[in-house]
Amino acid sequence: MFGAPWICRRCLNASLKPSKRRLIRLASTATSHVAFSPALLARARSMAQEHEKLSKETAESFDAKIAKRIGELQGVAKALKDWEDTQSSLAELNSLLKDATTDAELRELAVEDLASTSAELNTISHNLATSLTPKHPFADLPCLLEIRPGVGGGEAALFAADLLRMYRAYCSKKHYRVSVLKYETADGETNGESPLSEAILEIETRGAYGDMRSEAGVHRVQRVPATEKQGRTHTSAVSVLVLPSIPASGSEGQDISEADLNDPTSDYYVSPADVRTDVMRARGAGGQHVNTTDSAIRLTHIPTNTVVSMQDSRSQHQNRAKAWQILRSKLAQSRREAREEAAIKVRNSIGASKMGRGDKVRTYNWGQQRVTDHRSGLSVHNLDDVMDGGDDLEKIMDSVKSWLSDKEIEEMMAEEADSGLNKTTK
Amino acid sequence: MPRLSNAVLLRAYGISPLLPLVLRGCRELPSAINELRWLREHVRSENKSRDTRLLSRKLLELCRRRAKGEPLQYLLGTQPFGELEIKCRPGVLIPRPETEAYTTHVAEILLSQHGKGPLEPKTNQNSLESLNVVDFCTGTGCIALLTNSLLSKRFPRVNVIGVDISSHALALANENLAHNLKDLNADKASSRISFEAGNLFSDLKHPSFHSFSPDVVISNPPYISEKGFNTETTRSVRTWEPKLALVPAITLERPDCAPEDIFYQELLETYSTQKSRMMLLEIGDSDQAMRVAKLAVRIGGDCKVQIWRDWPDQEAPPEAPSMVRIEVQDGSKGSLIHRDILVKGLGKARSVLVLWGSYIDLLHPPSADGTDPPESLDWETTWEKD
Ligand SMILES: C[S@@+](CC[C@H](N)C(=O)[O-])C[C@H]1O[C@@H](n2cnc3c(N)ncnc32)[C@H](O)[C@@H]1O
Repeated sequence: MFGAPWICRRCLNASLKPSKRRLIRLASTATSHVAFSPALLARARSMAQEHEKLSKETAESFDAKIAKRIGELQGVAKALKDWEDTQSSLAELNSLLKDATTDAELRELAVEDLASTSAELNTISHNLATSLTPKHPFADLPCLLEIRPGVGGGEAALFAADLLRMYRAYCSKKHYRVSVLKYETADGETNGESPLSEAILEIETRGAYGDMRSEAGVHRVQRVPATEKQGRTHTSAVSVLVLPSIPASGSEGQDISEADLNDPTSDYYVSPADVRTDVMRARGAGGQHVNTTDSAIRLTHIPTNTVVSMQDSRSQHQNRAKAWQILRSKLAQSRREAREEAAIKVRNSIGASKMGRGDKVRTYNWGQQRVTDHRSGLSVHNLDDVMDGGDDLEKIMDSVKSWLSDKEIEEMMAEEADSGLNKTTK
Repeated sequence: MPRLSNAVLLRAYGISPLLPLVLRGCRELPSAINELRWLREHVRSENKSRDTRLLSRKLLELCRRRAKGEPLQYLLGTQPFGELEIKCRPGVLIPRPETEAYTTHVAEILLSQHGKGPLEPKTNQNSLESLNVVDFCTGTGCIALLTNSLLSKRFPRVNVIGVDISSHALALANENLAHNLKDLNADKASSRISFEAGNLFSDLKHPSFHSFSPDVVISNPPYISEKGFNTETTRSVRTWEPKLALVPAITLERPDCAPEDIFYQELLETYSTQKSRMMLLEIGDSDQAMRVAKLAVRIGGDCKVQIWRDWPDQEAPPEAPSMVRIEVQDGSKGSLIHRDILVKGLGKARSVLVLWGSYIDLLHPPSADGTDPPESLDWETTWEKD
């Protein structure tokens, strides 16, 4: 059973209603261009203007906040400029072709040019669309990666340990700082091959959430377990959760300000009054009479009944701090999810058909040495390299990221069209 | 001590052949699983060698010692205490989690009052917001060190002295001071901590102690009776930890005081005449809590008394009494007077807090309703891991 399987709603509200869905064809799949709604173009232009204005301002005096905003706008400004340049050269070429006085040789060149520029426009439009999709609010944060075995008993627990190894290898290759926040095995052993009952990996590098978020979902394994005498292939599953890692109040250099952590309306706020702490109680008289080593902590967020328990460390103090960190992450995530769900309900014309929490995102097939991602559809045939966190894993992750980005573009455009429609009908 | 059932031992063996050994020492399967993991991590981090046979032999050796009841903290050599790591070894009592809980809570209370004025002690008029703390019967030094570490984060001046009669304890306390130096704001010239040899029953009158007038006194003295030592302590405590730390060794004839309470009487008599503001005394059970509360009311002069349970920062369920009534002889007239005492926290009665002077207004809420509180503390909660 899955404890609290989680899947990024954004990643998965993939299929939009057919009527709105093909509002625009994307460059990667289409022969025709991305067609931007006037509203979307207007938005891009106003962002580019803001970029220009702020750039002028900082030329005179430096302000960290403004500099940050400029950074955010830069992508759009550049993509828009490319797009407009391409549009105007297309217009030029077209008028050249329309013009009866254009001589034959020039006309031929123009035709060639037109073909290549149109092709370029596809990429450029796609870039513009990507730069306009709102960045995930947690994208710059570090993250927690939670791995739990699902159906499949001991084999699932073994595969969970394999996945943990895979992600650790991937992170070390990317030079991410990681630490194991929680590691629970079925039998208390921590060495090598022991089956895992739950692990939480903290990836402390900023932006890790953005990189890892599309790994969330159910990962399925098909192989012959070591314990299987008849040599039959079993299918088991492991769920992966990706949570934003919320810095403890008072830590510096983070994207979340102290104010956010103390603001009751923020996603990151947890009121201590809502959290019950349970500790292991020594039997008998306690105090000097006994010298137990219990350091387990269990936190319960009463309004949502979210429970986090932690017993890895000998230090109760540390277990408490880690439990709080995980609790904060879980609550921030579920609040965001809840808001997204509400937003989807509001604009139900889009009616995102949700993929269930239990839907599989990827299959690892030992017999065929194959890994297939069910979202991007990409298969690679170098399973060992994937499990070693190698280039093939990155290839799959990249394919999911561009799949996800396409989905988000579609969603954004549909949304934009929707709001445009609403405006005109009012 | 109940024997471990064969079924439990067998189950443990199924998980790891080493687990039954650890289980003999610590008695509970979930704890044994954790302990085995910590032992394994310890062996790995202590030994550079990757020779797995050597490592397994060392691990087996540690598990065998654990099976004989040797405390895990002595095997590993440390015990976490708040944000600190306290070194432990035979001859000195291992710090307990309840001690960690109230020490942290005292510091949090003081920190929450910091900057509000009245915490500035009279003793040192020209140094604003300095705080003198004494930890009597300091053992490993854990209380003194954690108090210093927490308070010096905000108080510009914190002076802490830890006192113990045992030279083993003092040597270890000083090692612990060096071991935790980075957490103690030692670079701050204004934060001072030292450990001194002293016998509570003779040296308190010594001039060097007189010149240090503490605002806060914390003590976890020996408080177990001879009988309690034989019947209520676990085998591991009895065989491995020093009796000097557990059972008061001096049996002075004190007609009005149980032998296991003499440290409290001595501390209260000494410090209520000095200008102390707050005293926190760890106690063994609810009966002792009531006795010490009475002692405090009787000899503490103008003071307010509270009883704290194991986890003083946690809210007790509504059915737990939040007040208890005690009766004492009014010294001069011999008549009985009663006092209602605040009780807070989750768990079993664990410490008695005494407040004097300005600390009363600061830290003691005015009593609420008119209903009569119960006269016993018989209420306890447990939470067993599921
Ligand atoms: C229960 S231990 C407390 C240790 C430490 N404060 C803690 O909480 O872990 C009591 C300590 O009191 C010391 N002690 C015993 N008799 C004493 C006396 N007469 N004067 C001062 N210290 C004494 C013992 O050496 C022992 O270290």
